[in-house]
Amino acid sequence: MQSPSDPSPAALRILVVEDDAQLSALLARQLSGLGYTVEAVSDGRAAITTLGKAQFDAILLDRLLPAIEGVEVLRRIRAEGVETPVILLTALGLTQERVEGLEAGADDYIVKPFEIDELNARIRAVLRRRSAPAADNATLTAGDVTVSVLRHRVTRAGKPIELQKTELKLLAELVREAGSVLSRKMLIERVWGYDFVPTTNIVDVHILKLRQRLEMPGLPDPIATVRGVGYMFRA
Amino acid sequence: MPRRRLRSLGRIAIAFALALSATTALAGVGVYLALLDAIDHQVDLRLQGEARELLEGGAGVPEIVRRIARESSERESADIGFLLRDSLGERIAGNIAPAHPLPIGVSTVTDDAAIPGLSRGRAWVKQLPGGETLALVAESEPIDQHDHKRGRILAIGFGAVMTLLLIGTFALIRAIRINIAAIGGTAEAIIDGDLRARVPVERPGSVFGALAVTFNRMLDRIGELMTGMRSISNDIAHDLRTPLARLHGRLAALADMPEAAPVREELADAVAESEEILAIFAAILRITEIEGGERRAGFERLDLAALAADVAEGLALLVTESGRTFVAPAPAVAVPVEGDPRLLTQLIVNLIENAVTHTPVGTTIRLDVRRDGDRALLSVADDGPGIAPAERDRALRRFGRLDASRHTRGHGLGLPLALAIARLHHGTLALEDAEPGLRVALRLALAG
Repeated sequence: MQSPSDPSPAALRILVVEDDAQLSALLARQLSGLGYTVEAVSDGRAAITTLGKAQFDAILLDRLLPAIEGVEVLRRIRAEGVETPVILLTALGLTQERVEGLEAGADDYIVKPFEIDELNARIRAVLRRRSAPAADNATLTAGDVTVSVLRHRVTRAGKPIELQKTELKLLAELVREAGSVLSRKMLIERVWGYDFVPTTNIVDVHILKLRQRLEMPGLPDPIATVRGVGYMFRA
Repeated sequence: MPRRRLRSLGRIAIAFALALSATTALAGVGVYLALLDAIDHQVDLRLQGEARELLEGGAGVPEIVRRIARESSERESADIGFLLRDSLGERIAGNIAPAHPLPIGVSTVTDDAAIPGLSRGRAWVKQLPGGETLALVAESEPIDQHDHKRGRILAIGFGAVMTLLLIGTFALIRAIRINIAAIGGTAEAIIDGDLRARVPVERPGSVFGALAVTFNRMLDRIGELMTGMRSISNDIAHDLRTPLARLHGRLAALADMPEAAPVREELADAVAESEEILAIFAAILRITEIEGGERRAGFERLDLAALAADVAEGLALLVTESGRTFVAPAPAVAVPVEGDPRLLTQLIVNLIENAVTHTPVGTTIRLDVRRDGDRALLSVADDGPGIAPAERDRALRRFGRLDASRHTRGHGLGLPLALAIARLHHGTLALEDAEPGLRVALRLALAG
């Protein structure tokens, strides 16, 4: 599930700020299971104190916290110059909340309930964005595939491939994040721009088509299915 | 409806003014006649008394003549006209000369008698035993030119009353109109989803103020109930979704374990089911959020035709790969509307997904956006089995899944969600007959 290019999770420290003790424990166990080093606190004040003492690579911040609300915690730590990537956890996922969270300085937003793999994919994505921001949009390359978004041109092993607009956007997203897992929800947000989850298997249908289009005799399938999560372009 | 009510208010006022004028006029005439009658009676009594004095003791003509002379000069009876004529009609004594003979008995005298200084009076005439006639005449007008002056007084008084009445009535109508409009406007705002709207209260002590206060208290109560309901859904979301999420997570983790191999399929089904329950929660919360109306803050001017074309682009493959035909003509003209692009996107996605889910393979699905008069019309039509007219309302209701679709995928909230989005945009969502098949039509106001 991890790509070779990602740093080992053992080196990565995650702060979990969640007041639901059971969920917090489950999260800590699952993240530790993936190899992260996890510290958990149960309220906003403790989060601010902890962040003043130690460095973290990412923060999972519940939106609904006793004493100081999650978004307020976020505003305060951003005001203090803490640049650590923050993923907000929310029970409701209302658009207004989402916008408010992102404006307060969140890097991403995940609606409870989520699967640990979905969360892992998003943690990876925010870390990647921090380490290599603003990837060149004009031409993306991974393995033997090259995507030129602006010129709407795709080649595999030097041969041109015809793609529809949505297929090209999907491929560009996969290639840009080659080696990392992108969940279906992340793809829905990034490629289709929906802030809701469609009831049909729209992502899978497009991946299937993309695989057919990219298929070449003697060459392997460049897209890996990560069961229960999403897809990954093999780097 | 409110305008018609206000117009009828004007009609009520006019009818009221007319009825009041008629009543006032009738009452005026009645009072006038009664007054004249009372005065006549009074004058008659006086004339009879005077005559009794003249004739007292069976006085003869010379004595009567003497008494007439005396009475004519006395202050008390100087205003009475006397006339004594002999049996041939020749004047014997008196101070009046009526132009025509006065009838025996009591009668009314008018200008026709040409008695100076008398425009209306009463006459008392009696034939004496010797054949002479004695006539006494007195004014029965309370003042000179009574009718004329009284007419003027009445006209001025009546006019003043009517003017005041009209001003009062129109002020009242205006007050009622303003207050009804304020209450109506607030009600409209509530219907539109602005649950914080309240009727402005200027004077809490007045009737309208009290009504506004009561109305607002009712709205507060409704608001409390709504907040209660909303916090129940939020509580459900929070308190049920979290354990459900844990359950879902554990099931998924279980399915990944090597020991789960024999029951992996069962576990996958359980995971899928828990996902569906969670999707229902998400949809309910989404509808609640949309119905709250707060999303209107994010409205912007957009081209519905271009937006629909984008959605069509993203979903075309889904429709065709499902074995259905998708027809979505490229937009020819811009169809500008005011709206939330994300929600309108969701609406169109829902309609197309709905068509894919509830029609057999081989169905053709058409997406169309056009201007329809002063409205924007977006429709998604299929040539599938359609929905019977009687069942269309239910299909738009929350959890109103039709029996025919009970075993297909989806949570039955797609159309209700689309309806909520249409309403947020002050638009309508109608299920129509595509002959054959179902057409779902969204109508919105075109942006100017």
